[in-house]
Amino acid sequence: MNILSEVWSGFTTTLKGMWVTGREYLTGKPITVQYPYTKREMPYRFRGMLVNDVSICNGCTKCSRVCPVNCIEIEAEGKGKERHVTKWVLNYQKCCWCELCVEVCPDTSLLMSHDYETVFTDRNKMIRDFVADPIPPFTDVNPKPGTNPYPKKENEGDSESGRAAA
Amino acid sequence: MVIPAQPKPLQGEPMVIYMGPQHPSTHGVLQVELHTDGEIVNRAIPRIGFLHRCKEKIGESVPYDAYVPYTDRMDYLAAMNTNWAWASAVEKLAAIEVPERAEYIRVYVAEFNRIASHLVALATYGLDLGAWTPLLHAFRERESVLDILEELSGGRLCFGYMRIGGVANDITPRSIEMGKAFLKQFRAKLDSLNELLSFNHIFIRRAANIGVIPGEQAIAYGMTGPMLRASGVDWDMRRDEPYSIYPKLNFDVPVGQGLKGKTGDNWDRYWVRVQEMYESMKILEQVIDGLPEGEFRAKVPAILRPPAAEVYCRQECPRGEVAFYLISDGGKTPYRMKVRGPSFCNLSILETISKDMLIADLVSTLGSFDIVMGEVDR
Repeated sequence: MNILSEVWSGFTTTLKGMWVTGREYLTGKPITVQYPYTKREMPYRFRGMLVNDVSICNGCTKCSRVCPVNCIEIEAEGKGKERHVTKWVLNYQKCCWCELCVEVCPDTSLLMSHDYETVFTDRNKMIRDFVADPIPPFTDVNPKPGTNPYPKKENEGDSESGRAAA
Repeated sequence: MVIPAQPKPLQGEPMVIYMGPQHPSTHGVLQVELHTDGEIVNRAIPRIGFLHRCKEKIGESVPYDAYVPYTDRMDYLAAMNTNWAWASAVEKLAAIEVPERAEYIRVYVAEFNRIASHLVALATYGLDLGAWTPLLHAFRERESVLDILEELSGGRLCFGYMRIGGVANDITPRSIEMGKAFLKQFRAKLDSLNELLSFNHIFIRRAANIGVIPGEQAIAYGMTGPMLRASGVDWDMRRDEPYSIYPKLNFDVPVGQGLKGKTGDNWDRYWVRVQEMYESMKILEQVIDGLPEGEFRAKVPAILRPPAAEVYCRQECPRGEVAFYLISDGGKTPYRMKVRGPSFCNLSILETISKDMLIADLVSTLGSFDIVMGEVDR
């Protein structure tokens, strides 16, 4: 008798589970994004690859001081308004995508872009000098694909435009 | 007269098997040294340390606010809760008053993270016992939770959203809309997950009456969180030692009752987590209704130098109590930092309860512990 009830209970509960699966099969829709062909839209605050527009940056070294993993190396010269960076090296091997540097940046030259494809073909390319190899400056005339052309802090309230516009 | 030698009776030799560190059912880089006699485990010794990253030593060399990304990588399935435990420990040390809106936002993200974390726990537990479909259902729901948290913090796993004195960014109307839409449909989804896995007879037979931990033993081993509550001990930090805005919220603490077997078995641990998700939904609905206006971040000096003191601050995370013990000497960085991880303490009971267990049951028991190795090894 005990075995019979065990079998019966095992049979019915499994059937219930299969009914859930069948219901999903009939009514549910696939939610998978076919990644390389279609890409999902990133939310405004998405933290992708860190980029710096060195034409705005004045080399205050706040970002390199706050960085928990010491991945930013800066050399700057000049004083006052003349001050500009001669070397701004970011090591993508170390960067931990924490956005602390973007928060302290007074010139809004730093930005976590929406570029999430972080594959490099050469390890040396992961150490990038933004003075020697600059990104296009943040203007709406020349937006870089995959990155936000706008500094983040000016568009904080507007979650629809801003980064998504790129 | 020569007596012929008597043949010895057949005897199995004990065999040592190393389960892990790359075994799918060990939930990370855990190695379990199994002393087996056939199918029976005589002794199972967890060997840890494969993911050790010197978190406590790093904590002594980076400033207080820069340590938040490191706490992400401890309990990576519940990064928000670990972030929060760190932030509140530093706030206690430096006596920083947190705005009420920030506390509401913190509870909002922490409870969503608790749901996401428990969904992974249930899904992988089913997977350990051979149930594949519930994993897909649970991960689909987890995706929508992560979308909400991504909308707020910008990350999907390592959020880094908490700051000393508040949160990094204000809550957005869109994330509240997403949260409401999620809570509307999640109760039905959880019910269907119950039909799929929780009350499946085969699953119950694999989980109930196995790995029973009595309440006194659970306390003796310093277990916390759902594992302690499953053993029948009614203890929840959010209610019994309240912090943040939890005293204002109305919720129950589910306790294991041994519905399908003895109190404190694997099925109880599973079921406590399911019920906690229902309670988290209750909390979230109250938080969305009561969200006040105000600042989301207190004014904190750029370089924080707390007075020389020591604090011990603990919080209820999905796996139990996460606690930080901090000693400050008045400098930019802590003098000493100690982390109390719940998974580490919960895992320590494995050797005791795994005696004379089948190997298949050991996998089931280890799955019900819901350990995260990033936080065991730190």
